[in-house]
Amino acid sequence: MNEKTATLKKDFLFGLWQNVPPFRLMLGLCASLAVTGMARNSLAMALSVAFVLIGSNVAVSALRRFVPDSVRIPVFVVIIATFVTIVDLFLRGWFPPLSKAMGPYVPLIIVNCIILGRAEAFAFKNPVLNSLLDAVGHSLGYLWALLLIGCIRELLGYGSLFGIQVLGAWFQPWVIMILPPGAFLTLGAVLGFFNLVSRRR
Amino acid sequence: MKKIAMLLGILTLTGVVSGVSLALINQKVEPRVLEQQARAIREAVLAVVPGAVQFTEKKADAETVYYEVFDAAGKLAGYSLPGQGMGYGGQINLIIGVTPDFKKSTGLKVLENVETPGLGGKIGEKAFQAGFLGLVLEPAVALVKGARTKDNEIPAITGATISSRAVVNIVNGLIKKYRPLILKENQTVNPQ
Repeated sequence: MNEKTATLKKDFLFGLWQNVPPFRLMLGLCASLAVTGMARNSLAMALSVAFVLIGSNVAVSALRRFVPDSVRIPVFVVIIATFVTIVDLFLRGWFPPLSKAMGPYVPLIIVNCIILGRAEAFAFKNPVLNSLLDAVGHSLGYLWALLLIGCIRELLGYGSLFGIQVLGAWFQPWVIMILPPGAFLTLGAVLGFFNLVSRRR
Repeated sequence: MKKIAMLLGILTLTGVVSGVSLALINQKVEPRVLEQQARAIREAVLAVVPGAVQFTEKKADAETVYYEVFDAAGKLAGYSLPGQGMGYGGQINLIIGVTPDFKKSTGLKVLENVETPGLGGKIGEKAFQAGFLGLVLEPAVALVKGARTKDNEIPAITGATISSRAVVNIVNGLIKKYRPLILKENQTVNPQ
């Protein structure tokens, strides 16, 4: 494997584990807490973030030679806001129930720090292909993280996964898991688990 | 000076490119969004009156509308009345179907609610809404704890009395508002 593909691979894998957004970067927590009551919403949020992250990383990277340092942040924000608005319009037109379920959290992707963070920390300094892979890696990292939280909360809170009942009638749903405190409890437990695992290594 | 002009130029260009592309996309999406909203209303209006196939929109005043609903034979099957009010977590939007004489409800659908999932959120579920099928509206709908004993009663959802009461209040408000309005109108149209 030559050096170039090795860097590409490294850039891709970085966000998947070592830098996985909510657990290691501690970024994008607002959405991780707010819309993970059900696995379906987690999935929709992660895919929306993925679209925005990939789009903005590629755009920022492609424009990095034309944008002066002093105005880079406003330019990033406009680029991100453009992609977020596209996602919002798309969901409203094609998936109205999802759009309703996620409420203000779709427009709020604009202030999701993962996206601005990757634009600033990576895409502005690296070639387009690397930035693309970085974005895909972090998107997948965010996806599995949100799905993990969403599945735990939905399973304990409703006894279902993706809306399909998996636990029988004997199961008494823990309503607190769907409520905001449940998000904090789950995130705390998962974070603790990840710290434990990485300390062992 | 030259530098400031350049920065201004770049920021303006970014804004213009973003604005124009979003405007173009919006042009494609907006009809679809409106169509989706119209379809949601159409489905709800027909769903709360059994046997309904078509309806006409009526203006109650400058801001509110209700729907006259007809069955396959073209006979008046009832009215669909949309209404909203505050629940426990925020606004509740619902639509209720009533018989032409305003004596009974023919169904209720909660269109939007932000009540606590698993508790007040149950107002959005069939089990609660089924209670409105055939519910007697006179003298008014009453909320009861436990099982219903009279046919104008709705059992409150356990642990969600506020949300249940909010729905009942919206319904009673709608009936109070539309009953005199519509029945009076009918009398002037075809005096009996």
